[in-house]
Amino acid sequence: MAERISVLVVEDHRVVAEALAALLSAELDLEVRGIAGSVKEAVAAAAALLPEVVLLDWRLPDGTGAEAAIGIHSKAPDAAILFLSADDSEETMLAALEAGASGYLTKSAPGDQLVGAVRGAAAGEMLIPPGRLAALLRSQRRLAREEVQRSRLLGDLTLREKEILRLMIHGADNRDIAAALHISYETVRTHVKRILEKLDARTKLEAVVHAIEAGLAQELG
Amino acid sequence: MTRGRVWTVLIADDDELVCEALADLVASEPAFKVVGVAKDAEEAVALGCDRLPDAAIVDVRMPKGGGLRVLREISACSPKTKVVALSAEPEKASEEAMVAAGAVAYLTKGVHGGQLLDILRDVVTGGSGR
Repeated sequence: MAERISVLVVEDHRVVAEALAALLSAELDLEVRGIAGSVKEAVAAAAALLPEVVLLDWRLPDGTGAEAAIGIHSKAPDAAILFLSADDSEETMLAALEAGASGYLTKSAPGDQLVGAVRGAAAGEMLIPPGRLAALLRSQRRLAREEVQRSRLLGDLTLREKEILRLMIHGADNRDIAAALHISYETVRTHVKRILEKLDARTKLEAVVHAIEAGLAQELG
Repeated sequence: MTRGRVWTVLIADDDELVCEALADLVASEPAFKVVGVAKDAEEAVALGCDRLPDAAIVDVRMPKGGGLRVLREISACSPKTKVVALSAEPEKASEEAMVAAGAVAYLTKGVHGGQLLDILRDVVTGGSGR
């Protein structure tokens, strides 16, 4: 008989972990070598067992599945990581793929789909819920575009303009800004005018809205 | 344990996978029979009051009222039901509230399947589950 596919199950709800292990172990070609209930345990188990496939819960008590995936790959670079999560949002799936996941299954996936996914992951396949790939790629492209736009906008602004924009986002008017930065009211007006031009806005409110839409608000703090 | 007796159990948890795993675990023991699986507090109360189970494994955090509501309402309509609380995280306040309201045991999700079955056996035969 061919060598069995070694699996590590990472799930903090122990009864669920045992059920998953029992489901997989019932297959002749699969072997669950260990169960871990936290990121720390998962990384240690991956280092000790070098599993071919890791079935990884997205939510763990000491970190996210993405953190666990990165830690596991640092110890077992060849392990294929299959995420199992109740969260089927595009954001979480993209984060999982970026963390090096070979696949993403929702917790409502039936048992035979799980078994098939483990076999597929061991064979080097990429597994994403049917019908989600196109939407994920669209999201990824949109996020990449937004990132480019954000970098471009931020790159166009001088340090002083970024400082002033940050204060504008926090609701400061020109006089507040002048006082906060110890510069004249007229200088603030000149900076604001340039910010509006660079953000393609007609009013300060519009500039703030554009900045928030482009995700600049988080970067500026 | 009383020979031949089958104890009825209700399971209530909003996580589908947890429900399935608990139901499979409990059903794997011939002395237990799962008589209902609920996904929220309202459903748990309705099933509990209809089936009058010997024991109920109840998630502390659940939509439509949480485990405390389930415990109080099932205790009122089915006083014989022993409620075992299952919590995602150990939380002192919720443990105290559940125990004060009559839960016979308070377990966290690190509990192994074997331990859970031992506790269930203990509580249905009159033990404290501890």
